Amino acid sequence: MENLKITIGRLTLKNPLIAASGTFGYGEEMARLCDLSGLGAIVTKTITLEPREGNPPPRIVETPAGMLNSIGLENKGLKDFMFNKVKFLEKIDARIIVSIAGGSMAEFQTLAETVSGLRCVAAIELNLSCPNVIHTLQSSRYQLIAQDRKATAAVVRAVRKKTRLTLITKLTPNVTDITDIGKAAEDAGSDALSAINTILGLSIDIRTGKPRLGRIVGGLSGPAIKPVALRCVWQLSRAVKIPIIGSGGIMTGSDALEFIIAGCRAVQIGTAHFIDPEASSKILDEIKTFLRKNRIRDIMSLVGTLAGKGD
Amino acid sequence: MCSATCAIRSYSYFKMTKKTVKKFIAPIISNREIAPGYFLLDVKMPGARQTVVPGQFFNIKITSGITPLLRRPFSAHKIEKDAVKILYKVVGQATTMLRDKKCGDTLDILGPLGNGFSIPAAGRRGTAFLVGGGHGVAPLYALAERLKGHTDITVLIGGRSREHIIGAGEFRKLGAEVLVATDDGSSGHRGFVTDILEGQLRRIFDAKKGGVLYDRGYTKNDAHTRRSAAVYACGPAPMLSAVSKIAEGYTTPCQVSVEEYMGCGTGICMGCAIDTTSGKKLVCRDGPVFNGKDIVWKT
Repeated sequence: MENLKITIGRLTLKNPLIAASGTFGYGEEMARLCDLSGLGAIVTKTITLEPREGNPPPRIVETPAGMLNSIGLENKGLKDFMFNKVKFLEKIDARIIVSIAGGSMAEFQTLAETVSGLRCVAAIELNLSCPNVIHTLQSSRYQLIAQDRKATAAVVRAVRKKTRLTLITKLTPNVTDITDIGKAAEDAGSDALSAINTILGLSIDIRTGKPRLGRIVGGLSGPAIKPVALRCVWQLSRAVKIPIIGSGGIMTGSDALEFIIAGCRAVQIGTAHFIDPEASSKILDEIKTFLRKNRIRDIMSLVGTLAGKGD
Repeated sequence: MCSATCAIRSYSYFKMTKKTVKKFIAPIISNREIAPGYFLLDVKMPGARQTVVPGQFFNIKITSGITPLLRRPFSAHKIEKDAVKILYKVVGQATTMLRDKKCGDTLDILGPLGNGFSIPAAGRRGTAFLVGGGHGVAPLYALAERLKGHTDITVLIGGRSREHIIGAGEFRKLGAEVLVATDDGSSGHRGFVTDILEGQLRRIFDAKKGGVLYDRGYTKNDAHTRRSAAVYACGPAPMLSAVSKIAEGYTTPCQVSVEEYMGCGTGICMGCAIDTTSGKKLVCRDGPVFNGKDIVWKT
């Protein structure tokens, strides 16, 4: 029997597969579609302090080997999470990582402090990288917090003061040098990095001359972004010491293994869940088969083993 | 002047309970062109009649590859004992690939999804107006089959021209009255299908000014024989908007089946949001059938 167990900060997962934020609801919605027990962890849809209506439709459009989304962090807010979502999360076997996004330092801290009080929450993922909202944190020429190393460090430091839970910082690929932001998060006390969030994109309907999304631009996900994501996590793995959770277009076991070889200790499955709610359990089976065939006892021995990775 | 509220009594509705969703691999029984560009796909689904509500949809993965990547939603056109027929128009890459599927091929299907039409309680008399624009008639046939015997059915079909009027013969076979409108006048009324609807509702409305419409031979003391009307519509958004407003003008209940781009079809991705009088709702989870008056129409 292969050992699939991995640790990220103080968090131990029975296997390295994590449901990505925004692609798994709050677990309950998916429970009637698939078996949740195969997942190592679930990252919730991002919660904000106050409810958010989200962006104008259309919010989704398919593009070659991928999709653009512009949801805009629609969610019912922290209060609804505490009253209505936690009850189900307490019952499930997978570990729970809560994704949070704040409009100010104080909001980030309130969110982190509140969810840290819940026994079922194992970690916090800071969503500093949603490309569909413009951050209001401080006067900055950047639209996303994760494009600004100082803002990233400030949020991580502020949240770090309020929680002892494992803290994961989700990064955007829409930067010149992702390692710069990754290092800033590491230095500020982040326990792990999550990469990548979606890539900002655009799709146009030539018949009308209009953008296909209501907010013009949106975040690209799916197989189309896998090479970019792999490059990002590989660069990060050489720049930081904290664990990296990879994501971006993982549809199969071999996709997931590529991320692990590139330096990820765990991977997130996102868009694949839209197509097949049971994608994770299939990916897990494929990983197990690969390990068995290649006589790899422990998945950890595969992490960051990319050959010929010299400078 | 008669107040609009007394003209037409609304149906009373069953509360439709949400059925379980399941993913299944469905063998194709047949897949044939029934009119230029329009295809009828017949797939096996054991127990379909017991589980599928007219207006619900199936999210279909057309190929196992990544092009097209996402599933595509299709409503149930005919619900049989152990099979479901889907009426679709070839419009893009996904439907072109679906067109090329043959008997014996299989499709990966998630469904039935969403909330279907509310069907009036048995025994209630009245007229149901089913309004379809183009291939928007697709879910209306399944609905007509369920309504048959409960109410009189009048189907109003609109399209650009004669070739885009689909299913008229099938509805007639069910015993429904079928009225057609085309933009170019090549079949039926020249103009919009909504013109016909307006005329039909006005006729009922005017027939008994100041009161409700009764079945022939009955008086208002026979309360249970009061005539009622209801509108069900599926088609492009501008048509649904117009239908909804006309129905509201005659205080007639109106259910519309709405289309929007979907990511997952299961309420997870929140991609198919529309504006309603009570905030954003998801077409896949809260719809695709909504009360027309609950939607904030853009046109």
